[in-house]
Amino acid sequence: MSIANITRDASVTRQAVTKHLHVLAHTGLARSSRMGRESVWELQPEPLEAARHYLDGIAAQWDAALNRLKIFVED
Amino acid sequence: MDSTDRIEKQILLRAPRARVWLALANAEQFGAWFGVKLNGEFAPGARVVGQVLHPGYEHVRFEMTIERMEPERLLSWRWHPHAIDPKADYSAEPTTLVVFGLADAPEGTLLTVVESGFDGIPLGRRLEAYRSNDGGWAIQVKAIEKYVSQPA
Repeated sequence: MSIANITRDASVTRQAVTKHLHVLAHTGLARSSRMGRESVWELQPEPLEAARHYLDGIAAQWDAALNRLKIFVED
Repeated sequence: MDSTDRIEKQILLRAPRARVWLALANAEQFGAWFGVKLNGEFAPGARVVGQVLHPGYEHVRFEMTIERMEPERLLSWRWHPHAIDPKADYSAEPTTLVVFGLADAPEGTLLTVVESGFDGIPLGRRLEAYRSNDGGWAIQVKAIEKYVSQPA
């Protein structure tokens, strides 16, 4: 979606949208490519999914570790 | 669990607090169930290093810095979570804080664990875990299940 399209439906200025998109790009959540004279932006949900997935993985490791502790002390 | 910065777990252990404390605060006992071989003892402020024992990860160095020890009540330490890449240098990255709390329960001991500080972990590190270890998590949990079910 181009910035003009994003701004049309929103009650914010073009500058605000541009600034926000660059913040998202900096954290890897959005990406732009050039199409002619315009930049076209798309969202990348991968980093958000990665953050959630990462935490899920660590939580699973804790579950396994605590089960081993349970077996160890309840001997 | 709404927070992205922390993980909280709780487990009821059918053992007295003194027994649970020993399993946590004695480095050799800790290593036996956690799955690491540690050099040295736990003490406030101590940096404890060792080697991971889980099958497939035996090359991985393990390191933690003990923060607080309140006998039979609280043990906390800082470390780099999921630091399993032997080629990576995690030393410049933020640590997470792990806090174990022990409380009496009618059937034994209620143990809580809170690990916090995940929002400080670099996005690249989390993406790498997502991309390369999607199968890795499953492998590690399977290895742990196998380890636990071995005859003592």
